[in-house]
Amino acid sequence: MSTPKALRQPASLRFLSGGFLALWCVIAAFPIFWIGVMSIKVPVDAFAANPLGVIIGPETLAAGKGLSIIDLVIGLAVLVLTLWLALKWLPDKVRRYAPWDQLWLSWIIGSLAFGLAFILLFFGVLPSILSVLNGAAGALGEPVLGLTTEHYQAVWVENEFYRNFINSLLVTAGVVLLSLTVGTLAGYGLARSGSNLAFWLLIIALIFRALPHSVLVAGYLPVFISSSEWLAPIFGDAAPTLYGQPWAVIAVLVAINQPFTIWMLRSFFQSIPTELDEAARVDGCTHFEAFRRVIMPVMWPGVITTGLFSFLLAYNDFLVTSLLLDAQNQTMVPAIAGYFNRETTTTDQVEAVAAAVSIIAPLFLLVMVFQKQIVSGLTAGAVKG
Amino acid sequence: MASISLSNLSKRWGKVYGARNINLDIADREFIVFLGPSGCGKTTTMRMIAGLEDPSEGEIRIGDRVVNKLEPKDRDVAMVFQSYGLYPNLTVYENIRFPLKVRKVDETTHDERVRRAAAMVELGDLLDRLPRELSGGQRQRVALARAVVREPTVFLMDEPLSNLDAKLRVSTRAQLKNLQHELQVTTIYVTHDQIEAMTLADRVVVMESGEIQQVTLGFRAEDAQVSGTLNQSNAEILAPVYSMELLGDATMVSVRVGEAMVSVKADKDYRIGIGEPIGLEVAAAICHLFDKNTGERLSLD
Repeated sequence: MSTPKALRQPASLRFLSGGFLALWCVIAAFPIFWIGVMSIKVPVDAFAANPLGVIIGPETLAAGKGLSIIDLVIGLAVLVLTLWLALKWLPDKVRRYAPWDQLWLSWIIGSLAFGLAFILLFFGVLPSILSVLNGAAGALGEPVLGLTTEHYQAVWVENEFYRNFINSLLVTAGVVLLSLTVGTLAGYGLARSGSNLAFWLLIIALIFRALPHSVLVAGYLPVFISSSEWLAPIFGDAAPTLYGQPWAVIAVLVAINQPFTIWMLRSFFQSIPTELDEAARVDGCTHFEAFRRVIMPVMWPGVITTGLFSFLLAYNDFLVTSLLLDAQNQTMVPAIAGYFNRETTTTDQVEAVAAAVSIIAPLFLLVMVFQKQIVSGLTAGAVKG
Repeated sequence: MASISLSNLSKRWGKVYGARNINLDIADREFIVFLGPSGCGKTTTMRMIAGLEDPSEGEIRIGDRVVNKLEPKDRDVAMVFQSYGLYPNLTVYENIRFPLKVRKVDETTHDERVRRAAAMVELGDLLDRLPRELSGGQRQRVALARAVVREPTVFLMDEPLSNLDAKLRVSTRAQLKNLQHELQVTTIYVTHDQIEAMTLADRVVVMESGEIQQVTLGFRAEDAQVSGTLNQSNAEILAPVYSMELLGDATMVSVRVGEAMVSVKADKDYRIGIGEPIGLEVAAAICHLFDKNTGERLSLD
């Protein structure tokens, strides 16, 4: 669909708004790009006074670590090809070979297989091929751009950052699952109820959302510390001390997040016409069956969008996780803070930067995977236009 | 197959009555139409029969069961909604099949029943489409087929033709009439269109502000309220023409008389400009007269 002539903007305005957008993108993306560059340079280069020094990395090159022009060209080509395959070829194959009712499962399996194949090829096979090529190419094979993965190795292997990664995964998965389960049920109930009580429940939820997070933590903390006492009647001697456990953090984060998910899911449910519930109930469903078989299938955009927000809250939380978790249960965000103290060296700082970049990757992946689902319009055709 | 009886049925929201003291016996296989302006309680009454609305007072019987406390699914009714209520993520085929699936009807009969129901409303070649790919009339027919497929004891239809254009309305109306004749199922039909009511119904239940005004057979009108909507009333008049509408089979001329609007049906070739004077004469012998206060029909003597 092209814009009608009457609504088209003059060239100057389009140029201006386009330019402004581009500028904004650069400003927003620059810090991420810059820490990405810093994280693959030795500390001397990463903190060089000359910006070009940071980008090219002469010290890193001097240490014999870098990419030649051949590396760059082939590496970029492989990346572009991968992206193209992931966006065009993969969906096509999944759609063709998936059994109709297991599309979701097929997507997960397909994406995992694709990702695994990419990692094996890109990090396993490609470097050895490139080193052979570089040796044969002479001048073109000389490194020109500094690149070292030593900080990532230090972070992930020596500092055992993968532990924090697993903890983060545990906490976020718990928070997302709990918030969505409670949120969809409560959101549906509140959306379909016309009573005053429902309204006041929502207002109270909003007040809880407005409380500072530290207030909630302060309220929960003594209870978690003494939990082995008050849980003893139920669990006996095996009663756990919740303080320091991921469960405690999940409980607090869900409490913080729940009002928001309920409000958000409620408005999604409200956009689904009540005729659907009623038709289902007349057709032979109980109220709950109507919810499960008719309403939920058209709720996916709402659930995914809300789930994404819950994920971000849990994944990015610093305050609650840093206050409530033991060192061995630490999640990624507070773990980065551990790199900074009075005796911080430049190596520590670059490692912190590498850890920060590592945190970004899953977020990118998540948004990329779900961006198509974050749309509405699944109810089209249910009721008259 | 079942008769329905409503006794002292009322629906109240606070002090507002949605339906008030409804008493009605509907015979087995009867086609009943609830007729009335919007807000008169006809849809509320139907929703109470379906179980989507709890009655504040009174009793609903379907067959020999009191169904007041039963879930909609246990009342064995099928309903066609004004705005269709199709399942947007399912194809036409799966939409029609849904009631069979949830009610765990023997799987081997599904295909045949779905296809028969689809054929009844002429949907045979659209079974693979999604609701969003259908026109309004086609969606309406999917909703009908979904109601038909289960062979319920009662059909409830809530203004099923109101979203269709004039031509489609006539053909779907004929289809409905035929369908009811074929299936012989007790049917309650809600509408505000008198022609629909008159052509479809065995009996018409005229409602006004939550109460039943009268129950009538076919085209007879006994009440001032009904007559106001049924026969465009008459007098002896000399007035400028307020509007002229070409209806195709006739020309409708309206004039203003004091507060009232008087419409006269003329021959289809009759033409007159708006604002031109027109003289209308009505023979007293064909007039129906009504008491202004009670609404009772007066005898001509």
